[in-house]
Amino acid sequence: MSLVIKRYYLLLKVFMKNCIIRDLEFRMNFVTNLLTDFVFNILKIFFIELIFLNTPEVAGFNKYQMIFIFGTSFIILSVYMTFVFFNHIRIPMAIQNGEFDFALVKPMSTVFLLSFRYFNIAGIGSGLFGIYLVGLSFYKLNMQFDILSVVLYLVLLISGFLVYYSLSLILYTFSFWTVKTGNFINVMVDMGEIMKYPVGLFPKSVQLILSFIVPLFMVASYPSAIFLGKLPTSFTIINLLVSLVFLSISISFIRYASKCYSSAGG
Amino acid sequence: MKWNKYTKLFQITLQNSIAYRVDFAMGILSGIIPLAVQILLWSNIYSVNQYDTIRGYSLPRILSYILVAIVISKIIQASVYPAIAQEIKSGTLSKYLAKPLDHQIYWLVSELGGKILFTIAAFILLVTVLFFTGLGISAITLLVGALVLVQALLISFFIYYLLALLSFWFLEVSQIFTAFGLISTFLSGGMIPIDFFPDFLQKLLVFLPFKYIIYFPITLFTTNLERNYVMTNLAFQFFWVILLFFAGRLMWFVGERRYSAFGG
Repeated sequence: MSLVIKRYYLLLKVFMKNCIIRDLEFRMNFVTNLLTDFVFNILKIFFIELIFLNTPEVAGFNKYQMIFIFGTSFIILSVYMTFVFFNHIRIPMAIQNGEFDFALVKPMSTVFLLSFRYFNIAGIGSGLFGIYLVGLSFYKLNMQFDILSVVLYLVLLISGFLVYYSLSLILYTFSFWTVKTGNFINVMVDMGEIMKYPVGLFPKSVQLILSFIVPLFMVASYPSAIFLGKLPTSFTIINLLVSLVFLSISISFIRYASKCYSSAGG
Repeated sequence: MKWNKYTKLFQITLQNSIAYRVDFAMGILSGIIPLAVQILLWSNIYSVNQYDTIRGYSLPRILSYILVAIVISKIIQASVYPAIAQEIKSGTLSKYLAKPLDHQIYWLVSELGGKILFTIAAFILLVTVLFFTGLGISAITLLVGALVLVQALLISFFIYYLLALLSFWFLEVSQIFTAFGLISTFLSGGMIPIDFFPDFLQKLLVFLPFKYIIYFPITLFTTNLERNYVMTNLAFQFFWVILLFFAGRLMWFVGERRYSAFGG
């Protein structure tokens, strides 16, 4: 087991090194990528500032509680953008022109190759911004924290990432059957948008969907709830289990889908 | 049957539009979600605080503002700028240099041509919606509104034309388009009315082109504005059209001298 992990760790390192070297060739591109992300995130926070200029709270959350969730989602999205996003968006193209063949014949997990081949170092920027926002709201809200809640928060962040990753994988797996996938990317953006808002904002029926079917609340709201409103410790374990189940569903789904794959051109 | 061929054609185009069902469904979903989040957010703010109005906006008025903002930002969104940048980068720009064509006018005309049908359709839709929501609209507002929209489209086009010409100096400008698009949408009131901004920013925005692209057209359509206010803003808008038009020509004049026809 540890040997397998070590092997994939080495692979990931090689992938990352390869992509960083490539990025260094186009430094200007790297800078503008960072800048665009920063503009995008800063405008989101500016929007929140404007909202809270006019209201003391939204769905029971005050300004810095809201910024805490936003910061948390920036962290998750940053991990997703850095490691996964530029891989998943290539899946439809790889299926259409038959490049998916190469992924199948490589002596490693196909899902791993499809998810981590392209590393995007510029994605780290919004993660740092997210950490700053989380720290800022900690300070402004005068929150107390102990080692246990920090550990639980980190565990929930991991399970949140797993859920978001699985949703993305399931979405892009549909490209085995559909030719056109231009709107998939918009759906990913929208999901990133929805998960930034408090649970209480949505009507009950939507809450049920976002808790059980497309569990976006697990991504940012539940981790934030460790500090904003107490979650029972047992909840953390359940959350992690659910995310693992979700992950295995998404992996089984893409395995099932690859059986329907019939290559192209040749 | 005489009409048979038309019903057949109708069938085919309809089938085409829904041929890629999953993507079609996703497109509808991604159109609805951001709007739904906005509606939920504002409804929550008004109901929790029991506000009648915030900065003069009642709940229905802010929701109609957001709806109209979506339509107007689609109308004024320039679309030819990636092609302009691409030509400069790849060297195919040379074809204009040998012909008696004005580059800026050429692209302006092709932008307008590609947009006119959609704009008319959106305009009719907009007026119908305003009519049925009881906001109403007078004939004079309609005329002024059309003029304001044309000027807004021109401002938007000339700004993106300037950005596209940056390709003379920089290799990759697509990220600049994205970043600028985000800032511009925000500052022009495409996400939240400018009345919600802090005072200093509102004062500053009077002297920038942004508010004349989205905010001014929307308020013209959704509120009864005073005549003086409309005239002043029309003048400002016209000023920006002229200024950006000449800025574009100047930048083309300078940029063209740097152009070295890569690969062309």
